[in-house]
Amino acid sequence: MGDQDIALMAHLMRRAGFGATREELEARAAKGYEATVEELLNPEDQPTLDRNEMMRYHPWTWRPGTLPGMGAAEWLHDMINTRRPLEEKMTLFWHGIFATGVSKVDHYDDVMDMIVKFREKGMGDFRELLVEMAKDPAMIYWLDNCENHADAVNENWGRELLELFSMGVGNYTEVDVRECSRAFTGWTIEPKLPRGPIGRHDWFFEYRPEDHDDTEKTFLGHSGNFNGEDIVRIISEHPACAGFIARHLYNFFVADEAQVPAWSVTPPNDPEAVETLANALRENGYDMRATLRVLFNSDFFKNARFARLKNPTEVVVGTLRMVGGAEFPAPGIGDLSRQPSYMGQDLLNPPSVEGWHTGAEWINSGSLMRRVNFTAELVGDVSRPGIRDMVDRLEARGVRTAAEAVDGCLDLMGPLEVTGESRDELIGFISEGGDFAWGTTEDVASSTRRVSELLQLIVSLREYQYA
Amino acid sequence: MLTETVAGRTYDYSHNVGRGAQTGMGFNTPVALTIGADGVLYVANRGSESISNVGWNRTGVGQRISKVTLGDSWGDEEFLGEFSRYGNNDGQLIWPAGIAADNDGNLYVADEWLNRVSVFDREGAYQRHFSTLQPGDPETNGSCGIAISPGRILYVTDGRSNQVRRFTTAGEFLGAFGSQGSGEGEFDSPWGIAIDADGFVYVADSGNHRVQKLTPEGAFVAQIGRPGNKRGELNYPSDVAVDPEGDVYVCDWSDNRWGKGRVHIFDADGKFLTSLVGDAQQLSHWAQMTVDANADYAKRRREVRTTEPEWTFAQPTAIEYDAANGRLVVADTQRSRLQIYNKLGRYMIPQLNL
Amino acid sequence: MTSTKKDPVLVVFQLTGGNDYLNTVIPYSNPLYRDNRPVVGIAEDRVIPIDDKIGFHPEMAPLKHVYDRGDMAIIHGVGYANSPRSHFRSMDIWHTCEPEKLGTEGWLGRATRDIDPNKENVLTTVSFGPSLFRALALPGVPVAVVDDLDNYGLLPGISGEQRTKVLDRFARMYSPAIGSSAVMDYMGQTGLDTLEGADILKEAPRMYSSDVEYPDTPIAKKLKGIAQVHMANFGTRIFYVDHGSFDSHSNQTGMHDKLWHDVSHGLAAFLDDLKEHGVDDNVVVLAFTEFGRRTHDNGSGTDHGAGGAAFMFGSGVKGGQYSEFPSMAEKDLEQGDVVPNYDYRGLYTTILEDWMGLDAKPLVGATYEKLGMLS
Repeated sequence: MGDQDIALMAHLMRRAGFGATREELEARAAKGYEATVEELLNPEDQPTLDRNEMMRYHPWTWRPGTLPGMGAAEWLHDMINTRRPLEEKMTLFWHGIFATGVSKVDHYDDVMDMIVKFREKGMGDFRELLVEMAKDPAMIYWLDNCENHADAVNENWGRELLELFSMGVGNYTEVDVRECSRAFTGWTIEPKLPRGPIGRHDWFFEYRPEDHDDTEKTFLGHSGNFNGEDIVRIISEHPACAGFIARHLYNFFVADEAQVPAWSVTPPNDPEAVETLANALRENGYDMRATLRVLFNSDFFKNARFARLKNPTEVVVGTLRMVGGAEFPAPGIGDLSRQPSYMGQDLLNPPSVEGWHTGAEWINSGSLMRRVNFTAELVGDVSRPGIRDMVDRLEARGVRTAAEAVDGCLDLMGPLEVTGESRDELIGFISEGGDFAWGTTEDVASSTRRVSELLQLIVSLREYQYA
Repeated sequence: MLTETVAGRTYDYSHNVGRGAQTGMGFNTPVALTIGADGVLYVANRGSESISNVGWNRTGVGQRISKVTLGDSWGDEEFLGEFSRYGNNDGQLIWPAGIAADNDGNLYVADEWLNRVSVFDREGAYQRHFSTLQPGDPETNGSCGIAISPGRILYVTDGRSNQVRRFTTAGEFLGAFGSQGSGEGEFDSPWGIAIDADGFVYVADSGNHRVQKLTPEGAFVAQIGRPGNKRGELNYPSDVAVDPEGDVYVCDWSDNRWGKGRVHIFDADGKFLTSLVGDAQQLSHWAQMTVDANADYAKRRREVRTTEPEWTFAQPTAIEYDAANGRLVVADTQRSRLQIYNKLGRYMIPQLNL
Repeated sequence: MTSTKKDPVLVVFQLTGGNDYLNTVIPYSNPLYRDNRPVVGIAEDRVIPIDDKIGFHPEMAPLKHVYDRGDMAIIHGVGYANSPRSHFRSMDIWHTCEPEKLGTEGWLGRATRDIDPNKENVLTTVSFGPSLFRALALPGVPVAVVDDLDNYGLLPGISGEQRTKVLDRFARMYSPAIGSSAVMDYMGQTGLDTLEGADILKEAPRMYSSDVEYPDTPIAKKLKGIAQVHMANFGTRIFYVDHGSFDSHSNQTGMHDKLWHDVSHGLAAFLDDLKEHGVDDNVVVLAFTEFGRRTHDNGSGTDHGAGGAAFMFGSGVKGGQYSEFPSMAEKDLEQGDVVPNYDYRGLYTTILEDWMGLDAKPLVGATYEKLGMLS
């Protein structure tokens, strides 16, 4: 297989998953690109992780309450070790759109219940997912639909459903917001036992017909005695809906876009690509799987290598998948699960219902230092199986000169594309130690140490921040 | 049902003890129990990692051994103290997973991360520890369940290397049996262990969804329970206990379904008798104290349609038979409490036409 | 050239986890205190009296000394209406000044922007902690986040001579010449700012010497770091630090004692250090917590409540008690909690206007009644 096959496979796995080891890339490249896309699109063919292991070793991850270290620990462990990378990636995608957080909900367990729904339904029919979200207790509380009554309408959920979850500003009127909200009156939560003194309890959706506004509504030009499901259907028939989800897909999977609040005034980077995805949604009845098939097999996707900045979760999970050694949920998983938050992405606790701003907005001096130091510490650890494998491969390739070492490392870490100037700096740095030798045990130890330093410098490159 | 009568035995719910607490009067995910020589109950609390989104404490909270007496009924329980804490120094614990007491009242605590057994006296003073790893072993074995035979031999299960090891109480290795597999005498993630008066060994063979009865030397005798999700079938059994009459009690996570944990009861021949599902219809005394101090909790508890979700076992992980008092003690792990059932030999069933 | 008027500096000390107001500033002569605190109540003979009604927690002796010299203000009953009793939510409310809706901008992020609108100093605001507190968050406003001053910097895993070489390469790799897009340029500048901030900050411990001995505790270490950076004159105007966890649901007695022991000794050493160096007159410390705790104990500790106490320290502070101690009478409690009677945004306004010289209204959202401890 050619280098280009590996490079393209690496691209696919970074986007449709969280990256892969060289060994996995080679195996997948041998199977072929389209076959790999199909495998990713059919996660149910791959085994799930053994949930029992996490429950046994970290019982607190089952109902983490408000413990930050335990809240996202299981999800992070899943992302690192999943055999169903696209399923987890789509889960992260939806979490960023239906952004709901413990800052208000105050129970990690309830937000994690949403994550489970994304995992189960995130690659199916988007309309079903929307209805599922309308019935999700954490979402109902987050957007106050529990305060949305037949005789006192609260528009929070109704507004965000249109603005952030399905259509975007400019495609509906204030009257539509009102009418939409009326249709969701009576969609509320069953009272649940309070937290403590013996742990948390499940929250359940409840429909209260007596609190539902059971009269005529006019929404997006349609009139009738609508309930919530009707609203979702009417939204999905509106031309803006598919375009809105398509633009989200483009921003998350293809290339950095303007942020959502600017969408009504800023056209997409690549209108044609977004329209292709929107049509795929329309033609396939909002089936996400079919849409993702179009996306990953498109030229605009294949040509978008390193066209977006990694989000912090991709930095943490991607680096751990590459270096290995995080298969067992060892002590320290709580601290590990906090790492994305130190880089600005506090999983299960987005800053607002708008989710996280992406692209360059991930970067500030604090988050950049965290990114560099976290990844450098991991790639500098030559006891990690992924790093050992890189060193072995460099040795097997007989790497001798500084340029060979730099090119070899860049290749094994991606392949990563860097500017000529960056490459020159890497070579300049590593050439100070002379040529690499592998003859004696001492040679191997010295070469290993130098590779580890080189890898640390590579992950501190700006180019490493791109996916 | 608070009272369950089957085959001449009656299991009568008594009361529950505990509440969630990182320290002091309550428990934090209790995962192991043992009754000391003086009748005191020792509870190993697994705890959690990280307390808050800040940097001063990113390690563990809640890990400790609690000392309590259960009393005979609601409000009789007493908190006597606690010892040990999170860490890998002498006398500290990372992942406490099993605890056993010898006849002198010394406590042996198995730690499935540190692969060692730490020994404390009955007051909780640290004595010594020994590694369960032997030369040539893989880096970790995950020593978790622990029990002491009538002949003062320590049996320790290895959750990650699928063996049962035997030691003297001084920590001298006497040998091991078992290997990874699902055949007779093989294990998959064994955890809880119990030993009866004749020295037979019962292992909760968690990943094989069964309990195995073995001779003191590890020869297979019988399988108790079979895998499945139906009544009386096992799905991730976590611990096992045997009473003086030979009845076998198995704590089971029931496919990790929240609030569906079970204690399955088998007779000495391995015949399934019945299951307990948890009956904490009344909050424990300590838990009630918390509700009393939180006016909004008390209000909400009156607004819910039922308190039933909190009655049942959630991930029960340890079970002990308190022979001196003729009762079962179940560590209801996710609820950070213990549920207690009296085993009644003589029970007069009321008339059916009441 | 030296200016006679030094820029005012604010140190915010967050008592994370919900500090128990009633066991910090203890209404020891009120029989309702005894009634409500059968287990965690502090015996009258252990309380350090302030007057005939209230007294400090027994571990606060070093701060009583500060109080007696007139450098400490107690602000009673601080909070806001309808306490959510949630750490996350309440801390957000304190950080963003938005009790009604979710806010994303921190009040000190806004203050930083107003102090240094052109981002001339990468160290205008320095936070000591693993991540940015939301109080400091505002897109485009740089804040230095220091987990550990002694090991602060890029690539701490590489040491010695190699480190110098690696950081030199880092600077070159982030240089504008290599940028190929707006985002690359932005990251390049951010990387160089980061490097510069680290270069400056690491000098602070080297420039510092003091006769004051800080206790060997994590919080004293951070406070000492603040003293070092302040004395190095990098122009830092806002420092942020936290300690905890004050979340004393169980075994409160020992836990709360230890927390206040460490906080009191650490803070007292910090204030002494500034005084000894004559750099105390332009520094005030605000200590706050997200909520107080339940009036009634739970048999071992106390659960999440509402109104709390805040404190201010420094020679620029007019010591004494401000606002009122809320009533503990059963009829005055809400959901079992003492009710806050002074809005926290009034406290912020007092600090922003009377100390920092900023226009507070745009930063906290409205006009609030000020207190007099800084005027």
